[in-house]
Amino acid sequence: MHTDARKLANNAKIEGDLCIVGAGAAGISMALDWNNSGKKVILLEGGGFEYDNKIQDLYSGNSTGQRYYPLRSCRLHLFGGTTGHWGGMCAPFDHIDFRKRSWVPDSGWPISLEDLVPFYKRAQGLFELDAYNYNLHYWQKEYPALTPFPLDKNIIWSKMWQFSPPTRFGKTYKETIVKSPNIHLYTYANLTKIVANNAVSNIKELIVKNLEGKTQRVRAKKFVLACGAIQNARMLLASSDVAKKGIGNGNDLVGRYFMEHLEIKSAELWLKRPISTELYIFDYGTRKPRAELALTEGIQEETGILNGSASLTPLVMAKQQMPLIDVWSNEDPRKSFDKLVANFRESREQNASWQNENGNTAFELFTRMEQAPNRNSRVTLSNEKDALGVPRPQLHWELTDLDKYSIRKFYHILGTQMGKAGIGRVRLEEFLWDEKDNSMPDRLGGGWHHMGTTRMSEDPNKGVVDANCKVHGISNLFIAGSGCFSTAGAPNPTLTLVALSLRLSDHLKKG
Amino acid sequence: MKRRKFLLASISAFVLSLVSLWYYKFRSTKIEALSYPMDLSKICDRKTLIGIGTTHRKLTDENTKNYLEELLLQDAVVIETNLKMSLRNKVTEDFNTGNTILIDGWLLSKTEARQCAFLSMSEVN
Ligand SMILES: Cc1cc2nc3c(=O)[nH]c(=O)nc-3n(C[C@H](O)[C@H](O)[C@H](O)COP(=O)(O)OP(=O)(O)OC[C@H]3O[C@@H](n4cnc5c(N)ncnc54)[C@H](O)[C@@H]3O)c2cc1C
Repeated sequence: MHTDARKLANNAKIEGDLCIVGAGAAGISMALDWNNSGKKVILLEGGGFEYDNKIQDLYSGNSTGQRYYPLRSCRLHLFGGTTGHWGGMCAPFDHIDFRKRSWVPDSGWPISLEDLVPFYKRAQGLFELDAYNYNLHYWQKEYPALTPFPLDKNIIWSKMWQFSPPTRFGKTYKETIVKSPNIHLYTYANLTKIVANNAVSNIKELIVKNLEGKTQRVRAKKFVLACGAIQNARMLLASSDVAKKGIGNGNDLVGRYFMEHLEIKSAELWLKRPISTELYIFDYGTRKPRAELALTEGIQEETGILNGSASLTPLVMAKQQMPLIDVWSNEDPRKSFDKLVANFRESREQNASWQNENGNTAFELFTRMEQAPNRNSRVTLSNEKDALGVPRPQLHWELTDLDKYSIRKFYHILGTQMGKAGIGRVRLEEFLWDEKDNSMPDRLGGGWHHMGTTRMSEDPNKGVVDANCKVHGISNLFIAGSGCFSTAGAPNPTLTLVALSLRLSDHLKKG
Repeated sequence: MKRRKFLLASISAFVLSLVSLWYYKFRSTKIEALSYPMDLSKICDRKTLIGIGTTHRKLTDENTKNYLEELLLQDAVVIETNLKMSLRNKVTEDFNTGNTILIDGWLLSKTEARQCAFLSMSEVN
């Protein structure tokens, strides 16, 4: 069922069993899981089915610290959420991503990879991916040309990726949601305030507004915030009528530990002779899996570095590509997206030589690495308000020495291994030369992956939500999405955040 | 008597020139090996190798040919025909043991970096 909230009466009341706020990857996955369940599920979406500039403007905000994408354009504010722009790169987290690591402060999840595996399996289908198998040997049976470099397996391994078409949740799941007998989708229903009881132990209702000046109240037994990591934190912080510091923020943790993936061209790989393997090359025409070079848990522990991987792009092609942070600079997400697509397409079309049959000898090595959890990297509220009267978000993206050290060390290890195997040599980018320089250059980008602002921990002093994504101290408020990640993990987050949301969904059904 | 002297002198001159020819050949083969980072040469052009060598000399105190030669020949089996290969093996061994150095961004074995330094000082350069 679908209702345009702008057409509802002012002050109308909406009631149901479960209320999910935000119809992006997390919210839609959860709602679909409740389809035909007999329970009345309210799905509130701030935008409509089409892009609307005024709605998108509700996402505007400022940032300080490490240069970041415009907050207005790095997410999408409509039904389907940011899957309208995502790239579809999917891989599960590694074991080590969940572990408490002595060399990574504030690391460790209260759940393990095994806890998520059944939900990863279910999430695969939502993204139209193949079987839940990220083992190189499995894929080699189908694609024999996926041969890895002959590197020391105790140190380097091939981290496999699968590619979603990419599934645009807004298009793919609209009909199912709209036709569902028990999912009640409300578009143009923007959450502006979460109202708690006096003891702040329970959520009473949500205040929802639209730009037509109407307000509605939503009551449910349980509430799930699925608005994305920046927006979830913003909504909790802005709901400060009863809880002065914001809901769930008794321990001053909401909005803190904002994390991104560190994405930057970091080195070049020069081979002695061309190696013809399809394993590392992204094939634009197909959805064939590919690998990135990653370091084993053992060597990460030995050298005290973060988890990450390096992708290979033929240098002739990569040289034409601008840094992502320069490409995605427009406040209008559609313009930034078009520029991103053009950046990739042109570099590919102008340099057909990268498709050399004998293989290439020179590659760009591009880092994708978790950011170390950092309390000072955070989302707060600014003094400015949006058109619905909600304080705008203020992002301070702050990195630590461990981030830079890890990237530098990663390429030292990779370079040593390439030399040892007699394959070739690695040349590091200039920003990595000086061991004493811990700053990151302005061309560092992120993956548009917002994580950690409502981090998970069993200890309320260390996290906003518990292992079931329930906000500590509040009986009926849950968070879905990558805001719950305790650490960022090496791979892109969406497969994991959907798996986590499906796990939350299971938990709610049991309760 | 004069004839005998002349013969002796000619033979000595011949032997001497043979020896110096042999020495010259040995020396130039050696210099060639010392200034030829075999694997790196497949990746970098001569100008880049010389650039790496020049930076290496600036970064370290390894900036005389004699000293570089001494360092390069340490542990290497100095057999004329095998020098190139033994230095190549030394390069691999450097990577195995982490005896590496970062020069102009290149993560290199110390041996090949020294070979570049030797090249950058060599008269053939
Ligand atoms: C260019 C780009 C490429 C990307 N590529 C990848 C990739 O290859 N792989 C990967 O894993 N990830 C990728 N991502 C990230 C991915 O898009 C996000 O991780 C994912 O969409 C997050 O899902 P979500 O449901 O938490 O948030 P969103 O998808 O952002 O959904 C949030 C929803 O909440 C709604 N909402 C917000 N505020 C309110 C409110 N107050 N009231 C009601 N509704 C509200 C929004 O309109 C939206 O529909 C990419 C992102 C971008 C921008």
